[in-house]
Parts: sequence; C-alpha cells; structure tokens
Amino acid sequence: MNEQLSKMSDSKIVELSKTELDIFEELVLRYQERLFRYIKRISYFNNEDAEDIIQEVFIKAYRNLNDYDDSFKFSTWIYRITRNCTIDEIRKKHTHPQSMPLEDEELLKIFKSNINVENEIEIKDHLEKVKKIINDMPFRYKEVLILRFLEEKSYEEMMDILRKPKGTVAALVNRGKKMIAKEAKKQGLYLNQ
Amino acid sequence: MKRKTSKKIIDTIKDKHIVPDPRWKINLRDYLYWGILACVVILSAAFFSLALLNIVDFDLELFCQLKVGKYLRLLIFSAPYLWTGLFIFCFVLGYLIFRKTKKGYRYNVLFVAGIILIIVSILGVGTHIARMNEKIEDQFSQRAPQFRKIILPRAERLLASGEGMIAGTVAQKEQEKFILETRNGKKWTILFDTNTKMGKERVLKNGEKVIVVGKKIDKNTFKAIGIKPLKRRGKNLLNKRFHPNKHLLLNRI
Repeated sequence: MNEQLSKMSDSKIVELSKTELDIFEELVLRYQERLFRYIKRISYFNNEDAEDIIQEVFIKAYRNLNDYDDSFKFSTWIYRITRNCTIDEIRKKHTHPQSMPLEDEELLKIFKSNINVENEIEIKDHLEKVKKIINDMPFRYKEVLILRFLEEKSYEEMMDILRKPKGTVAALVNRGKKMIAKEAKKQGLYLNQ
Repeated sequence: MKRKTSKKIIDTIKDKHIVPDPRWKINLRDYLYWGILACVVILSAAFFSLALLNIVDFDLELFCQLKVGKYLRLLIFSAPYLWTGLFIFCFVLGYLIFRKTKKGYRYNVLFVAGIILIIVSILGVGTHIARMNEKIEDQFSQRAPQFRKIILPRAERLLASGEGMIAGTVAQKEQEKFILETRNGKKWTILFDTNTKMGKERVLKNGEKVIVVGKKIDKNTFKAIGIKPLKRRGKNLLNKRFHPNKHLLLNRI
C-alpha cells in the first residue's frame, strides 16, 4: 500500500484523502521537511515553534482539502498555506523577522544567484558582509529571493504562493537583485556582473 | 522523527474529529466577494451615467461662444464633482474587491481596471440611453434638496448669470429684447441683436424654453451672445419640481 501511495501524484492523494484520512499522511511525509525549512528561512522561529506551525499547516490543509484546485501544483497550495500560517504567527507574536537565520551556504547561494562571482574564495572570506547585505534587506525582497533561489520556485508558482501578479513578483525579484548588487558594490564585493 | 511528526498530525486530526469542509462553505467568501463586486459595479455605472448626464448637457456649440476664461469658470463651477468622485470611489473599490477573489491576484492592474471600466461604461451608457439616470437624479434631488447644488450641477448651470449663462422660458418677446422667466420665477430682460447667434432663420416664440449665453449687464438685464432652444433633457430642469428649496437658488442670482 505504502509503495503504491509513494508512486501516486499529489492531486490523486488529495482526492483519496478526502475519504481516507490515513492516506493524508503520505502528503505530510512528502512535504513536512521542505516546509519546515521554508518556515525557518522566512522566520526567526525555533524548531519547536516551526513544528507547531507545520502541524497547524497540515490541519488547515486537511480542513480545506476541497479548496485545492488541481490546476495548481499541490506544493504551491501548501506553500501558500505555510506562508500564511507563518505570517499569522509572526503577527501574533508582535515581532517582525528582522534577521532570518539562513545558513551560510544559503546566504551564499542567494548572493551568487544575483552577482556574477569571479573569485569564490574571496566571497567566502567576506561571509559576514554577505550576511549583513542579505539580512538588512526588507522582508518582502528577502522573501521572494528565498522562494526563487532557495526554494527554486518559478515565477508562476511564486505568484500563486504570494497572491501577487506575476509582474509584481518579477519586479520584487529584480529590485531585490539590484539591492544586493548595489550593496555588494558599496562593500567592495562587487566583482563582475 | 519524520514519521513521528506526521503521525502526531494525523492523530490530532482524528482526535479533534476534523473533516474537510464542504466546497460550498469554502467558496462562500468568494461568492460574497463576487456579489459585492456586482453591486459596486452597478453603483459605479449609475454614478458614471449621472456624471455623463451632466457632461453631455454642456452644449459645446453654445459654450464656444463664451471666452475661454468664462468657459473654464463655468466648467469648474458646474462640473459633476459628487458623481465623478463616487464613480471613482466605486471603481477603485471594485478593483480592490476583484483582487480579493480567488484568482483575482493573477491579473495585473491595467487588465482588471480595463475590464471593470468597459463593463461600467457599457452599463453607464445604457442607463443614459434608457434615461434612467434622469430618474435617479430626480429622486436624489427631491430627497435631499439641501444638497441640490452638488447633486444637480447642470441645473445650477442654468442660473449662472454671473458666469455668463442663463436659461428659462421666453415670456414676452419684443423687437430686440425679450423677457425670460427662470425656473425660480425671476424675470430677466434679455437684449439681443443681429450679431446674436441663434441659428439660421431662427424666430423666438413665446413659451419657448431657451438657454442664453452672454453677459450680465445689471441685476435684471442680460446681453445675449448666443441663444439656443433647450435640449430635451435640459427642459426638465426648468420644471417647478426641481426647485423645492427656492431660497437657495435665489441667493445665487
């Protein structure tokens, strides 16, 4: 049965889950880690809080299974719910994620996606500067860059996750990139673009 | 660990007896948005047609006989600010509500605004052609006479002697002048001559409803530059029922 389930598409599992709750566990297993990482990336929450949010996300998703439209990818739908739950939680705690706890590798990945780096060793030496550049960015730009370069979402998917027109999403990504390039230049990290 | 978390989630769903909500319940909010959007679009079209009524009422041919400065002053004095403002408000509200619908976020501003504008224009022009806007205007004017000045700017325009425009009924016609009775009962002596533009072989008749542009000479005398019969829509504005608050109008003259 488990093997059969693992071969099924997300939307097929959604359909079956409506009548058989245990099948829903397959979706939880498929997405929980990715979503956990995503929550950690867009918020300052510790593991415990992030796990609570994950639980809330899947309960909400199960309750709204009939809202899932299979013209979207399931991952897009669940990412949207996760983002909303995380932002609600941030609001509840009355704090704004000023500094996102991104791993060094993740920071470098975002940075390198926006700057044509000639000398990678030099960039690694200036990790603190890179960290500062990315952490100092406004939340809305940082969020789109995380979706684009760490979660590797397409503009179409980002549009559905953020509920913003495609043009707005593209503009946010571009502005975020320009912001990084400008700051890198200021800090002497702008090597070649 | 992975299995443990997923198990915990499934157990919570079971313990709390959570079941998927029915589709109608989930879509209820979306239906509500569409319902409000339809109402807002209809309102917007009504306001659009009221603004349109006031704008098309400007007789361009006659107005062109006024000097640019006076023309602009009259335009500013009697523009349909209330209806235009309400139309813009409903239009923006319509756009914001559309963005709140399930897939509304997918479309860009210009596309959504364009679609709403087309629908509002079609409905608004339809309302104008069906002359429903006159009935709406009439209702507003009667129910809120104290706001008549902003509700019915085109009627105000017909008494704007100071701005170079006046309208009423030809009461007594003589050689080069006639008495014009405005809707508030005031009698004006209108002076005209061969230079006054009245259209080819035009003869004024007693009882005719006309609009006169020109210059106020004194309290009761007006020198005409152009005279034209009132349009069908404008004639209604001279009816008594349009001035329930007579003293307000007299103050303007």
